[in-house]
Amino acid sequence: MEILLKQLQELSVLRRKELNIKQEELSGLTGIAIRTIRDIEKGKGNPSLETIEKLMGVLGIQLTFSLRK
Amino acid sequence: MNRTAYSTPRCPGTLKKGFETYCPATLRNLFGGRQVFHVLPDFYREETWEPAIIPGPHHGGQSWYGINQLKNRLHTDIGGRLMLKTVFPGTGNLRFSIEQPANEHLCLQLASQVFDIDTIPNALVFFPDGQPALITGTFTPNLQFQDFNSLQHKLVPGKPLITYRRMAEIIDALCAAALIAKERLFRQVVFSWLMTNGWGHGKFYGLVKTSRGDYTMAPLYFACCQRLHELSSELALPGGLYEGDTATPAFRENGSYTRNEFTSYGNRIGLPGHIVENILNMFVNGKEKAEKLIGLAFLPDEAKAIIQFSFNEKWSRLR
Repeated sequence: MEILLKQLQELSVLRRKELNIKQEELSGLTGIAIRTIRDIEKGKGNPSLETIEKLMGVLGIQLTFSLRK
Repeated sequence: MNRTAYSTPRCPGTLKKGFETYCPATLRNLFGGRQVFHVLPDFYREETWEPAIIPGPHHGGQSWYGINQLKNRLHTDIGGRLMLKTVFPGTGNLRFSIEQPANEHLCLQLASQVFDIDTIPNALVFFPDGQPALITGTFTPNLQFQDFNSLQHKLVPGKPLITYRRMAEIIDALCAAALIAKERLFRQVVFSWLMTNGWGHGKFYGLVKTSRGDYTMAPLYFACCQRLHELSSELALPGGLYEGDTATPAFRENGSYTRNEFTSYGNRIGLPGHIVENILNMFVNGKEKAEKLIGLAFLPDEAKAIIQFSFNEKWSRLR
């Protein structure tokens, strides 16, 4: 889970910068509290799968699960 | 050169008071922090203009030139990362034609400073005789800017871009982060109407590529109050916001778009209702700040009054 959170942190910060969108705007578009977005970007917290899906969906990232190799 | 002779009471970029030339923010955003001066005497005399002309959708006697910056000096260069938009006196039949660069500059500053719209860096620059020109950043080749007219032609050859709703459909087809791009499109469309930018057709809006290779909405790079120069239509695209938008009771009553049609447009392109409301409220609440900025523009008082009148008229319909 720690690795996933770290990946999520890096991806959300990077993607937000690529799209040049502020945390406040992202909060408005996703409906996720700004504090939760800040926590995710700091690698803190324990976001639900629904929150992750919402956030990534607006940032244009698709979540996929694959068989462990 | 006697620089004090050319000093201005405010920054020709941000319009902030207390600066005799470009303020640090303008120097940083447009000129990489170099001490570029806002008057171009050497450039005016020595440079060759013809090879730097940028072909494009110009209007009203405007000419666009590619500009490059070497340290704190500017030179004509078709491949330059800056662009100079100027107007030659006596061309076209437009009212206040010489004020086009200052008009465009004011509108771009209103967009970025008051209405939080992502806008290409820009500032006014002057020839030694005082004639203004607009200097802006450009979309570098790696951004692969594609305007909506071209995108429409690629997606549906032979069927021109008619409505602003179609722009959103193109975004849905091409942008991974479509909601973010459509929120930006919505802001740009409302702003274009608010400023009576009847020249803001599909060529002036578009998409750019992110470093990941997907598309997102390009920053605003053209805005102008057309009403200063001539009579203007409500919107540039002939089909308006969406099909049937002029058949609403509110439009019939007012003979113009109102908050009602923009709310409907926002909903139809898939923006959540609260986002649409927040953006429209942001435009309504920006009136006082907009008035102050219009008052600081490098325009004659009569021109400012026309822009202010036009703005107020539209603004009253957004409440």
